[in-house]
Amino acid sequence: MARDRTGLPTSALHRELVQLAPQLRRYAYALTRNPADADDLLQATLERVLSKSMPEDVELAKWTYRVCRNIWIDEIRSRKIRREAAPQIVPAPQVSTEEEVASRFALQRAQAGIDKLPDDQREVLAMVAIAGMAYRDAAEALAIPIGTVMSRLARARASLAAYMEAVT
Amino acid sequence: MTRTWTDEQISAAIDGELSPSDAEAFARDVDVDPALAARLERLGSATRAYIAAVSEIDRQPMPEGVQRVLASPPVAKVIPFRASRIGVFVMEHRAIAAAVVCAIAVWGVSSMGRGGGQGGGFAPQPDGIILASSSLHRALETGASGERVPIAQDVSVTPRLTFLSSDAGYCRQFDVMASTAAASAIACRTGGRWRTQVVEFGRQLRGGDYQTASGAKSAILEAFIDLHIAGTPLGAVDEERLVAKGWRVGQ
Repeated sequence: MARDRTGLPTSALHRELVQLAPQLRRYAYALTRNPADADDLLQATLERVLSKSMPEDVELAKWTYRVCRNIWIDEIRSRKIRREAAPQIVPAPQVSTEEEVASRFALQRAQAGIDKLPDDQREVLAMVAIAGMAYRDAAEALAIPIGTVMSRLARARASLAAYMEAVT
Repeated sequence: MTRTWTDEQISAAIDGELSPSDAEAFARDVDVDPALAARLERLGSATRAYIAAVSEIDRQPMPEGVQRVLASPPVAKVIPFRASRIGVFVMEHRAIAAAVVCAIAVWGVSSMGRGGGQGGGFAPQPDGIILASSSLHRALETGASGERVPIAQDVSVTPRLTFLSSDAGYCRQFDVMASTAAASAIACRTGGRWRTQVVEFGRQLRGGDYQTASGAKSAILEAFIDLHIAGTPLGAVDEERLVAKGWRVGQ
C-alpha cells in the first residue's frame, strides 16, 4: 500500500484528518478565540501535516495537535490583527423559546468568561477538554509538571464557574 | 466519614484522571456529601459551558481552503495487487467479519442500550437493522460528522465519517458514548434503512471513562472502510447537502 511521508497509508491518513478536522477546528478556535484565525490555523495545520514528515512513534492526532499549537505560537498569534475586527461567530438564527434564549445567553456568558481566563489556563483547558489529551500528554506538550496541569485546569474551571454565576 | 477533595482532584475526576481507587472513593463520597456533589456539578457545568462555547464554531461552514485540502488526499502511487494478495486480504476480512458478527450480537443486547420505551431505543436489531423510529436512526440521518448528538440520558452519538460505499450506498462511521460503555461502528444506508455493518467496543480508561475504538484507531473499522469505500470520504459541505436532501443524491 502506498504510504505518505507520515508513514501512514495515504488513504488512512486522509481519512484520519477528515475525522479529526472538526475537533481540530474547535481546538484552533479555543486557542485563537477568533473564527477567522481559527480557520487559518486549521488550514495551515492540515497543510503542514500533509507536507512534512512525522516521527514514527507518534500518533497522528497527537502530532497534529502539536503542529497546530506550534503554528499558533510561532505564526498566527503574532498577527493578532483580526481579533479586534471580527471576533464573533456569525449570528445565531432568531431564537424564539425561553429555553433557547436562556441557552444563547449562557453561551455568551461562557464566551465572556473564557476571554477573561489567563492564556496558560485557557491553553491547558483546550488541550484537555477539547483535544481530549491526557494530563500526561498535556504536561509533556507544555513542558510543565502534571501538578501544574491539574492546578491550571481547576483554576480555569473555578474561574469560569464563578464568572458565569456572578453575571447570572 | 468522607475525604476532603480539592478542586484539583474534582477536576481530575471530571477528566477521568483519578486513580481507580481514588475514583471509587470519590464516587462514594459524592453520593453521601451534598457539598461535594454541588462542587462537582459547579465545575462540571463550567466545563460543559466551555465546550458548548467553543463548539459554536461548528455553526460556520468549513472554509473553502480547508475543504480543498481535505478533498484532495495525497496522491497514492498505484501498486498492482497480485491475485494471491487479494485472496489473503479477502480471507482476512472474512475472519474479521466473523468476529464482528459476535460483536454485533453483543451490541444488540448491550446494556448501553434499548434506552426508553417504544421508538426511544437505539441498539440495532440482531440483524444489524437500526429501526427508523429510533434515536440512533435520527442521529445518523441528520447529525453532522464531528457533532455530538444526545440520543438518550447520558448517551450520545457522534458521526465521524461519511463515505459512499462501492456496494451498499452511503455509510457512516460513528461513536456511541455512554457513562458505562463506548463503541464505534459503521452503518450503511440502503432502501432508507441503516444497517450496522461492524462494531467495535471501546476500552475502559483509567478513571472509569471509556474510549471508543475510532479514537484509538481500529483495525476492524479501517479494514471495512478500505474494502468498501468508493473514492474519498465526503467533506462537510457534501455531507450537509446529502443530509438536507434526505440521502437521495447518488442513490
